[in-house]
Amino acid sequence: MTMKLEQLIAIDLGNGSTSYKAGNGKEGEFPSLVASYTGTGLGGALSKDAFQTKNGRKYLVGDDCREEGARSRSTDSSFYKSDEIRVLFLKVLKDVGIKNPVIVTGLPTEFVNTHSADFERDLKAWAREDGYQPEMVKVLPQFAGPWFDPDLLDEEGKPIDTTAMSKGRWGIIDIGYGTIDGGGFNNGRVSDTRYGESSGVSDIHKDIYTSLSNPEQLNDLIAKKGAKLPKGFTLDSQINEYTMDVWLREGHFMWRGTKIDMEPISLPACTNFADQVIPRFIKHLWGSTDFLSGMVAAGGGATILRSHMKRHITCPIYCAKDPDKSVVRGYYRYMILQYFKEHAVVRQG
Amino acid sequence: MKKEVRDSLSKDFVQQLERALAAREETLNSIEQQVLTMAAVASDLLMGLEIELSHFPLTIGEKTCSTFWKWSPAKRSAGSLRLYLKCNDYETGRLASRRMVIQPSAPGDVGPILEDLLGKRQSGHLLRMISEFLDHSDRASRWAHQLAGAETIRTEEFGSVISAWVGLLAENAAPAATRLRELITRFNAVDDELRHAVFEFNESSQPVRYGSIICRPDVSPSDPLGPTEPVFRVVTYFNRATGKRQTTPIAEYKRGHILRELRASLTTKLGREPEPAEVEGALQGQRRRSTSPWITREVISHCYLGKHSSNILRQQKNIAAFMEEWLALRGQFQALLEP
Repeated sequence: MTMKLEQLIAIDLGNGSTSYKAGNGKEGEFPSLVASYTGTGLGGALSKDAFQTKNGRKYLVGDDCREEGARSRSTDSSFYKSDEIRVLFLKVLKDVGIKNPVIVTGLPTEFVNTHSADFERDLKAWAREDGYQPEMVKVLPQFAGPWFDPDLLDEEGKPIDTTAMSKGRWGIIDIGYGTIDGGGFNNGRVSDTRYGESSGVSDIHKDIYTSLSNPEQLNDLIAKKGAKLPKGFTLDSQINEYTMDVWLREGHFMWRGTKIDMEPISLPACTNFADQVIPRFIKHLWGSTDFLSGMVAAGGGATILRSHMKRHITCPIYCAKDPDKSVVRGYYRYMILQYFKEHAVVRQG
Repeated sequence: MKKEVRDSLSKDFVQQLERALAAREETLNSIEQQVLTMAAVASDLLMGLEIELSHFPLTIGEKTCSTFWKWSPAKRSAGSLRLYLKCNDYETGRLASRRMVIQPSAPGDVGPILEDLLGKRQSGHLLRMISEFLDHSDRASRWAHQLAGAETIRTEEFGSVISAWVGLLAENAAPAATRLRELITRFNAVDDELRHAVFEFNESSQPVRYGSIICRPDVSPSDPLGPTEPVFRVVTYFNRATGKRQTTPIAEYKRGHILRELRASLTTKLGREPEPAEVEGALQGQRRRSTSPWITREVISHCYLGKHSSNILRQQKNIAAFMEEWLALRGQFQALLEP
């Protein structure tokens, strides 16, 4: 049987959020949070949509379990065998609703050679157990995502010229929620030097959360006039580090009816992260970025750290408008180029 | 014959011709687009392939395998690109190094090695991707050579064979597409002149009767380049009541005559009707050239068109002059379309 584009699902099982893009037009994103559902179906549970797998167990997935204190995922390879990732994966399949999907997803670059066969097998088995008949499962190295993103723009907002990407040295920096992953192309060939570490946007969230717990100390760091935290400001028990994610996305939060801008509050944490992690990452991979032809930046971190990256990355930076979706868009485009050519459109105009 | 009758008789052909002309326009536009984007497509294919090749170098036991690209010059294109597998083997305690070209159509020794390294399914997938990339690079190489005169890559400047290769295509894509557009414009101009000349020829053979000579292209829905060159044809059947007719291309018409003459001379010689094999044998023995598609004085006299002969030959000369360039350009497009 020939595969149809309508069967395709690209899934980015990221540390912070799981996003998907499907050939039937569905796309979406939810936080990569899973908690076992223990409610009785009464009271508070009414507002929550419990996700039930075929084995009868119920889970809360995504935003529904922020308050349940679901732990965000660990970043070692054992995670890819865990029940959490199974539930996130099945939730995507349910949301998309394709019975015989062609699935593409990724693994952090350092695990691809050793774990992709197992991961493929597990994904197939999990899908079958829940009543799907996957026609194909493809596991790509994570760096392939940003590399194939059709929406990469240069610093002036123009689409990237793909043919230029096979000349000189190119870097990829993918700042995710819990990990930062990188690799590169060297004169048209994938570079052997790859590097990843377990720090990411969640560290910034933690840092902001901690700093908001000490408003006076934070106020000393805020230089912008009128942006300091008001007197009497304290966090309450409902606020946790995941709340920081929501506030950062919205750009502000409400406190006693006053709108408080997140930008000056998050600035010290972002500066701190960018100054510590990015130079270390660059040093490990390339020594410096002075001789790179370009750097492709992706992941949720690329949005938050956009202005900070320029301080450390001295070559031109190429980044999509919404870099947190770069990976899933890239996986999707990779599959179109490989298996659904009739739908492929050359990236640049 | 009434115009309505004529129109209804020619309706099918006119429709087929229009479809063929539309197909030709579409083919030429699509090939121009493909030439323009040849480097971008090469770079996309290469990136996809490199994702798979990023698993290398792979080690099994004492054997370590890596891949490298090699470019070699070629006569009719801007060179050909091949991917090699390099295996370093320490099994005997000494280093034994082998380099083998990965030829997806005939994997040879490389097939089993790749299967050992990657597994059957993944090595099959890799070979398919390599095949697709090489097919594209071979075509693009011909385009770059035929349309922009590209001949060689500059590895030192680009740092690697593959980078220089994509660079060569990128540099030549726009000039090649411009050149192709010029050729298409020229072809369309010549095509207009040719059609005009053919129209004049057909108009002067009106009214059509048995033995008239007309001129029209053959149309086949499967030819991406649309109608063939115009072919002179003799009307070999004509129904005056309905206007229905059958025509035979001149080359075939001439062949028929030769056979008839041969058969007649054999009949006198043998004193009986010759067998088809005997006619065939006699024809072979004559070592004749294949019949040409052109109208000769002999054909004109056979068709009882003697009084029109100077006009017919003049018009034929005119058509032939346009046809020469028309065929040369069509041949070039044909070569660009080759897989």
